Amino acid sequence: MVRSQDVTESICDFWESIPFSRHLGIRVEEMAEGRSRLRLSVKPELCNLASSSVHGGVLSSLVDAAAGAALLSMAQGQADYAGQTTVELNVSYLSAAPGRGDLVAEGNVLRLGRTLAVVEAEVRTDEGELVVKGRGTFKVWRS
Amino acid sequence: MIMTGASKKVAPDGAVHFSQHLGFAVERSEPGHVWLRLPVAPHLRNRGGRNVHGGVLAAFVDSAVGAALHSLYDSDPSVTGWGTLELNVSYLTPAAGDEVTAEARVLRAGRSVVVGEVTIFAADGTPAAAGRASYLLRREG
Repeated sequence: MVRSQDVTESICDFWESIPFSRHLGIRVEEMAEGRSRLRLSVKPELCNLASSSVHGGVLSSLVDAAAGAALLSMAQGQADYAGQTTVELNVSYLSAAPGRGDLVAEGNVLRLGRTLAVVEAEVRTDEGELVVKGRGTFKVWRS
Repeated sequence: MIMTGASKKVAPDGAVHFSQHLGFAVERSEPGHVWLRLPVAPHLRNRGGRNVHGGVLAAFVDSAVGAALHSLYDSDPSVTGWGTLELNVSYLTPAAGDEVTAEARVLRAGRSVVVGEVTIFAADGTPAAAGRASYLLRREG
């Protein structure tokens, strides 16, 4: 869960400072107007056996992080925005993400309502191959 | 949605398909990318007669992504049919108006599993639903 009072620096720095995101090594390249772009350098500890491919849990975490970032970038400007929580996330794994190089995740807000938001996200290799497509529903807290 | 060899084109028993029953039309088609239109008849609406029923939109997700598969495999004799493995829908906003439209595309076409996505738009152009579906391909032999 993210609370608006926790955002004391730029939202990109704030989003990177989430402990689990930092643990994975997620860097935030862009967060603005309901869109986000995040980057992750693949490390052996994020991979399946023999480092052949990135673990599916890492990829779903990237979908959540990119979708959440896109939402924060849009909702944060609303006066009564008080925070957000993922309530549902779905992921389709389309091809294996190689156990090296970078992954780029992009989020895009489909709808921001008063209490719920729906955001889509995708993950590509740095060569542009689509590896994961997902969508999340978020509860938006209001003050 | 299950599509089998003969019914890729015409129902073998002459029965009305569910998709025909729904009444959508493919407006434009490229390989793996299609645009559809569904006139919203009164029996496809919720109580109150204003908004499209959620079940109709879920069926339209399946039909629209199915049409995207059709655009890829209709002329491929090695593919004899397919069946839906998984389908998800996010309802974004109530769809009022006389029609809904959809843009669907295939995200990945594997040897045995195909994944596609669709966005459904209300008559005023607002995104009303977003969905994704996976299909198991049946191949000859």
